[in-house]
Amino acid sequence: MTSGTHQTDNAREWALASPWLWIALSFVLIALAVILRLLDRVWQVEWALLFPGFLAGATGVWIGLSRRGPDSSLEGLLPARRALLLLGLAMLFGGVFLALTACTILSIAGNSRIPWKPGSLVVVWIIAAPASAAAFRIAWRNLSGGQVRRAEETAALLASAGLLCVLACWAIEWDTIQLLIGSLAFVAFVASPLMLVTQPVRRAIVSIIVLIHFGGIITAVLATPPMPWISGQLWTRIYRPYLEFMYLVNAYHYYSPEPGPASYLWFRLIYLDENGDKHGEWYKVPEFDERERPKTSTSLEYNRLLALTENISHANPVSTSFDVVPDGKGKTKMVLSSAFEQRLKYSPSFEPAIGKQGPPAGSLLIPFHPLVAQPQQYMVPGQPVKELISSYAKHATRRRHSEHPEWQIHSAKIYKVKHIITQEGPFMKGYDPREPYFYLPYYFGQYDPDGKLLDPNSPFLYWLVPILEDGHKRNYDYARRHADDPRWVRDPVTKEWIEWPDPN
Amino acid sequence: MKKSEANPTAAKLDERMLRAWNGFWYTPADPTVLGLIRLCCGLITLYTVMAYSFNLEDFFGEHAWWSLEDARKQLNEKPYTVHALRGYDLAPAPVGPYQTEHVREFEARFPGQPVPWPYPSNVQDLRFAQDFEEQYGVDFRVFHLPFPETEEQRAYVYRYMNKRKQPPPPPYPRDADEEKRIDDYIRHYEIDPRLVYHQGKTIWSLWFHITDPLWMRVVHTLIVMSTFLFTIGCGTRITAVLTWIGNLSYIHRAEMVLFGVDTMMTILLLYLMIGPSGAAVSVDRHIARWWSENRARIIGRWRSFWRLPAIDIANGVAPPELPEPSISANFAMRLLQVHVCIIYLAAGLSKLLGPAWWNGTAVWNVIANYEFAPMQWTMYNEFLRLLGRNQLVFSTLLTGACYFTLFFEIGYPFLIWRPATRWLILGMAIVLHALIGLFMGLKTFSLMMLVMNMAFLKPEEARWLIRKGAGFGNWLWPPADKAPETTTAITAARGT
Repeated sequence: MTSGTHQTDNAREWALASPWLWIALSFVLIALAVILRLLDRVWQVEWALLFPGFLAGATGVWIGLSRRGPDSSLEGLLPARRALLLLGLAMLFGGVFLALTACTILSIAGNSRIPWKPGSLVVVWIIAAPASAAAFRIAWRNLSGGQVRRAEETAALLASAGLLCVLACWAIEWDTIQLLIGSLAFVAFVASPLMLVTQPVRRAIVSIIVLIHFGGIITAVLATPPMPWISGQLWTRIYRPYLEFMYLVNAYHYYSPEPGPASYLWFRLIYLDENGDKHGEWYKVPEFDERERPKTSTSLEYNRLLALTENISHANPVSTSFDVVPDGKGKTKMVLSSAFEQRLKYSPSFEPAIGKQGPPAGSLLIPFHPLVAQPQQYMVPGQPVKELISSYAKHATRRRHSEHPEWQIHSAKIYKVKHIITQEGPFMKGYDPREPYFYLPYYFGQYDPDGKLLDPNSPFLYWLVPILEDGHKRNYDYARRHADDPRWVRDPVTKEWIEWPDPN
Repeated sequence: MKKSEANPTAAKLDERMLRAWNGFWYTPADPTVLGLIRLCCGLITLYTVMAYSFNLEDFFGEHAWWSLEDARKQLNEKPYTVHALRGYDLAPAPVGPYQTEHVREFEARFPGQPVPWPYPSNVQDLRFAQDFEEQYGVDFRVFHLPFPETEEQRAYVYRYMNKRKQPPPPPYPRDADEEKRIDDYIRHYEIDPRLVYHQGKTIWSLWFHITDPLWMRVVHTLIVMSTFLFTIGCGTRITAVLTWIGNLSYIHRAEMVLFGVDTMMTILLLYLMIGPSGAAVSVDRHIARWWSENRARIIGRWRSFWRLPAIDIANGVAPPELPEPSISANFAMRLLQVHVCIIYLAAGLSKLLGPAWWNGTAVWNVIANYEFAPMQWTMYNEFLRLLGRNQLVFSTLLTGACYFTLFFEIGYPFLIWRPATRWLILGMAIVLHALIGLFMGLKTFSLMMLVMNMAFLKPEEARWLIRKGAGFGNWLWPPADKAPETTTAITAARGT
């Protein structure tokens, strides 16, 4: 019964040794699940039948494939039944060949009723159609006479497994699991004719599958910028479904072009107390304890949280200073970009031009970072990253206040913080990599618990809100200041964050 | 004349290549290495899956970091675009005298410029195109939108242009609902759905559907159990598939928390599922041995329980001392070997894009990265500063480490196959991944890469490793798997 067994168990001695018993059991269980699905039962009941049904089917296939020797467990089957079995196989293989060929031709011809794209269908045709045609020919030729051969039984077992998967799709409501089970059916239908064809044909087809598989891996490797045109075409038109399905999409460009700094997410969670007053609390991802060790259950969780923050590091390149706009005379002109103009207005060094207004009195003013180049102080994320941030906000705002769990959450201000790597020189001189000014917080917006951006017109949105140090080694954390944290200045002696009056 | 007679060298080359290909992929091989890889990969996978227990809802629940609602939206709508296969648009031939005259006139007025199409069929069409261009400075047929036939379509072209600052692609929306759907899509993905080649991802996961915390725990426990059974090699053919499905369910649901270990784990689980990874170092072999000794007794009891007539039943033949060589074992190993080579080559070549790998500072960015390197240990920082006191030593070390990495990764696919350099490369792999584990905190990833490198071990080397680790679980695999054996003819045939 196991893969190492040498003695082929005889179904006449031991009924459980018959793969067909397991297949039949699987059929009964899955058919019951289909009926329950039609009766609209809860998924738990359906799966209580489906899961054992799948296990039984898999056991049947396993027993069938691990049998030794040329003998089939269907020895002694009446010639008429054997002919029926082979006829069924021939019909199935012929049907697969015809269906695949028709779908491929129609898809190439642009028929919109075919749900699959021509590129992927051509590959599927190459993998499955020739073997199906060859197996159809063999099954048709062997219709008469003799015993059921081992290869025929294995082909029939795999075909049955494929049909069971197709049947199971009727019992499953979950669309993505239907996709998985449908794909398993496809694998069974591809493998089944391979059992009937001659060894050279089988090896040729398997070799083609290997080449297609590694073609996909190489396409994934080459499909990241700078990429050749052809790999972009291959990835999107042919390989995408396969590589995504199998999660083989990685390009393996580790630490390329160079190792970069890690990122954090700082959430300033704002709660409303019973009186409607706002109170803020920091939630940092990943978080460290007082001994600078990650506050996570496992080191794996810590790595996953770093991956979570790394995923929002990708930003669109944008011009911070100037926009090119039509001048109304059929030409273009350069003007100060609105994002930069707004940001400039809310910096302490801003002096309004004659006739123009400065920021309203009492507004928060934040200086630019003196050591970071201006284009690097503005980081507008792409749309996928904006989606992620909104989702992260929804998750973070479910967090209760640490001391007052009864307080209602109002919103979260989000900062993406880049921790720059201390360069060799400063490090050797004794600089501590944890010094606050090594952290570069970018403001990513204030979100409500539904993930909606509340301040799309904030002058600081997507801008660096720096952490600076003065001549007395005092640190001014403008991210804290921006987040309405009164303790936004770090005392140089005690290294504690203390309350500090607004310098403006 | 036969091909071989015309060109005997070519025929011989074909034959040689075919034989080499067959020998590479379809020679039976000892599954011991595969069994060892399964055990090691299974242990890491088990740890990885069990580690999810602490964050099951945070990563995979309805209100996870990547919420179910957003994940499903991406699943169904994520846009994929691709350039036209031709790379440029071929204008159709004009139909009828009006279009022919229009094309001729356009070419005469604007020589060398492509004629915008679809071509107008009458004066009204032509006037619409001219008015539009006059107003916006751009032709409304940028994406080859047909001429509007109704007043509503005409208004739509202007409405779209005013909103998006570019003309719409074809076809016209059928009704206001469709126009709204298009607008929503553009707002969400910043691209018109009519310009998208494909919408939606081809992924699957149990966690797209199971969100009730209790049932999440139940299913998670089942996945942990299946991973455990796979690790010890129990019912491996089935548990390998279940482990792969379970593992990919986590991966597809929460792509943003993945890193290298998940990528490598998926690859290993795929090939371990294809090959007979339970044929050695497994409980399956134990069961096979036990079954061969107890077959007659068990079947006898079975028959008496069901009141079947008694028959003469023999015990089974015991499995051979060493696991039987099989083509599928070799096939899976070869798949893994080729994949590992591609991984290292891609990793090495892509590093050549970065100046830091050329000037030798890349390794500094790794060992001084606070989040990954052990920089919370004062001793580690002091050690770095101590090394830095001698610039010659320090720079040599850093630059040497960069070039060591480049040499190893780029050289791997060429040198690992040669018997003379195989152990050099494997030794370098151990050093590199040990350092990655130590200095970058990526312990599971490093271990997984070392497990992948095991694909290049010989069966007797695998048995040596098993023998060394055997004290921990004698019951887990039969003595034959860890017995010192001479190299078999099959092993020699693998040529690695």
